[in-house]
Amino acid sequence: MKELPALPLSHGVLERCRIAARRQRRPGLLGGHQMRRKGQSLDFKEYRHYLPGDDIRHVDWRASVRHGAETDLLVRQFSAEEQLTLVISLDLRMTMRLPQAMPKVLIALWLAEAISSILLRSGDQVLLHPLFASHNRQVQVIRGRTGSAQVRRHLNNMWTHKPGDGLTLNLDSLQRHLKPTAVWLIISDFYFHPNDGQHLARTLAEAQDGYGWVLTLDLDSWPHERLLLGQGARRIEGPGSGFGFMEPNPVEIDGDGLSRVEREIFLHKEAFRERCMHGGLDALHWEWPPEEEPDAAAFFTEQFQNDKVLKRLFMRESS
Amino acid sequence: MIWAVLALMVGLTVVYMARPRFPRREVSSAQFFKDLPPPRLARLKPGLAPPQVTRSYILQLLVFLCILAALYILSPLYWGESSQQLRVWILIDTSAGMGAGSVGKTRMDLARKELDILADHLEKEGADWSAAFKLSSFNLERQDLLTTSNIKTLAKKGQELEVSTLGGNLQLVRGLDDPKFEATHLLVISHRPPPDWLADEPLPVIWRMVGEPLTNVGITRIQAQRDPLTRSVQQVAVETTIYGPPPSQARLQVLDPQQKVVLEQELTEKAEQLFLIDTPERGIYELKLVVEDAYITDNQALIQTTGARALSVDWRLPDRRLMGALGWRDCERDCDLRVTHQLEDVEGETPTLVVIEGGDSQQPQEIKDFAETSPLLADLNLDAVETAVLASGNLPDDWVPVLRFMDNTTWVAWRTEPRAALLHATSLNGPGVAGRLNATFFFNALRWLIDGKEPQPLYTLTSPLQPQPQGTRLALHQGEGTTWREPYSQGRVSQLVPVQSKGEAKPVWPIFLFLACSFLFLERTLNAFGSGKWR
Repeated sequence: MKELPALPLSHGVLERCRIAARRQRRPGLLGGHQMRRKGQSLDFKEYRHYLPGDDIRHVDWRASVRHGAETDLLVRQFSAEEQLTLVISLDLRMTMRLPQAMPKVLIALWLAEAISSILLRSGDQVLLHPLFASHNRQVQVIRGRTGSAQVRRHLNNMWTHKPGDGLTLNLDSLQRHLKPTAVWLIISDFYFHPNDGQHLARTLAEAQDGYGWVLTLDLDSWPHERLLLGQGARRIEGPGSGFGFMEPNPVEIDGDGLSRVEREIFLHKEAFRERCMHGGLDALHWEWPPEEEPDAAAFFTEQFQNDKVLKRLFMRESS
Repeated sequence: MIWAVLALMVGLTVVYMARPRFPRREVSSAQFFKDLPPPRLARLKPGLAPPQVTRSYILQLLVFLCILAALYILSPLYWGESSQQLRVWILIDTSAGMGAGSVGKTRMDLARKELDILADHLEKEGADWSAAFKLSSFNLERQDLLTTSNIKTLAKKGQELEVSTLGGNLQLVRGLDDPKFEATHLLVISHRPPPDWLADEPLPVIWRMVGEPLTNVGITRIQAQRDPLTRSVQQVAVETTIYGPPPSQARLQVLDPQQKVVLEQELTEKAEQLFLIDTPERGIYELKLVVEDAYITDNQALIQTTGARALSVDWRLPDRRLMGALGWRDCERDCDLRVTHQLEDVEGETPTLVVIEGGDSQQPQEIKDFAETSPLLADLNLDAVETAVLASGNLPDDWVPVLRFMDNTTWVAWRTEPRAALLHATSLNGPGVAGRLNATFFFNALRWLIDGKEPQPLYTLTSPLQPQPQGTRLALHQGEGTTWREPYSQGRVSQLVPVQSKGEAKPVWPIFLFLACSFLFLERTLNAFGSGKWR
């Protein structure tokens, strides 16, 4: 398979986007996706005297003996990391390889590359995570201003390796990277099996505890595919349509049938969204244009530049 | 052939079921289309059209698997079934000799016991054998009685066998072949020893000779002493044979037609003895052996004798002196012989001697040809024929010359239908060499003409058509009374073990064809009445 097509956004565009976003701060304490600045798993900041209500586990006994008064205990204070950690979970299943005119995985990988490029230049940390894998694939941790090439290599690897059957939800390797301060972006079409959906939704809900920020980006190609199907007797092929070597049965496509399918897709995604909604989730939705031959670069550029929620990723922390 | 049919069938099925195609669309949301209805065309168009719904991979796979399964299951048929089989053809001798025995136990009883031994053998050893039996009896003919796989049924049928009053023909069990039964072994049970040709038999043969040596005295030969001209029986030679140790007392008694004892004589200890019995009277004589022995069928015989009698002749020659000298009786109808001088008198069944006055050549003639093997020229000196002055004439139509002279005239001739002899001569008892030659020919012709009529036999033997001895129909078949023989068998019943046999290969392609048709019919029926959802 050919290499991942070049990102349609130039370096200059990305840089402008970064600079524009850095002029702003994320919303403050109010709002569903604030970042906690002080906490347990943060970096050490200073000692202070123990006050009733403090967690006894934070008492630094050695420092108290050495520096404190006889009855005075010193408690460790932590400060939140200034550096942002973004986990990008990419759905690489076969459904993401469709539609052929503009594969969803292409948009997903471009988006991951664009976001990573901006964040890495800001000194943030990016984790690339395959949401489904045939075995427990490790998360790629990339940091530093020169990490863009590394990101490109990993994404190209994801693009060129066509997934097989039997992919399972790959969350075990992600658990230890999900710090409370991390932002988790899941890019998928959410056509996965309900069982996988339940498991993922539960994990997403848990991640939102403790002020975690979770974003889901739904790549919705239905408008394009609907146009592609037309009307009449059709043999619908695609992931999940047949059983083993069997070919799928032909079906009658008409207006009613398409409405039924559309509703079924909506209910499927809505059920997932409701299960994982836990206060700190933003659900993004990119909808494919109802065109037979959509322009992927133009679509991506437009969606990326106009998505206001994504821009918050690049803003400075609110104090 | 079968592979070609199979390949054609599979190919047709696949091609047939693979049609038609629908426009294909590949979308990521394909999993949400499963519950949509099948195409309207497929729902609304029943009939024999090709499948509208799917490529029927399940059906094709099913057909293929079934064909493979059928091929596997039927492979024994196709290749010939290989199995351990014991298929025994049992032949039991039911000739008269099987009735010999002592203390109320005949050889047939011993034969039945062999079947019991076979049953015990199978019960002990043959629990897992595939066994089948064919039971036949034989005497002068073979009779197939039963084919079964049940040894009890076989034994029961064996109990019903009865001894006949017929002789036994061992050739009936030689070279047996029954393609339907496909015997693996032959088991012959007889009172006779195994013949020499047994080693050349294609099948393994177990020959069980039943019976202990027993003493028997029997009439083994009755021969008539006939008058050479009249064929009348005036004396009978009776031969008796003693098998085994001579009995303490045995005598031959002969009763004439009036039941008067004409002979009563003790048998000596000689194995074979000959008795000459005068039978001057016409009627039935009774020969009786008074003895206690193991085989009674040959102890008695009734014979029909003709008694001494004169020949009845229709003599049409004017000179009747010869007839008077021979003492023949005059006869007009149903005569033994006709003597005439006219060719036209040759008719009917009465053999005829025609004596025609031929032209005398006045001098001896050289023989041109003669029938070398003709009994009419027996004891004739042909050199004398060429020195004598004999009458001769032209050969009439339908006659065959027996002796011709160089001028193509015939001295003697004959014909067989009706039986007749022709002699050119002026008289039958003339003087000189010619007269003696004519007389010799006359008696030769007489014997030949009378020999053509079969004499009445003294007795007849029982036969499959007339099996019961009655009157002069006797059961004196040769060898049946030979009871003094050490039992000599070849093999034992317990040696019967199954053999690896390969059955006949049978064609299986009709079954495959039937399978294919069944699947096609099923698929079409479901497609017509159950839409495409059944798939």
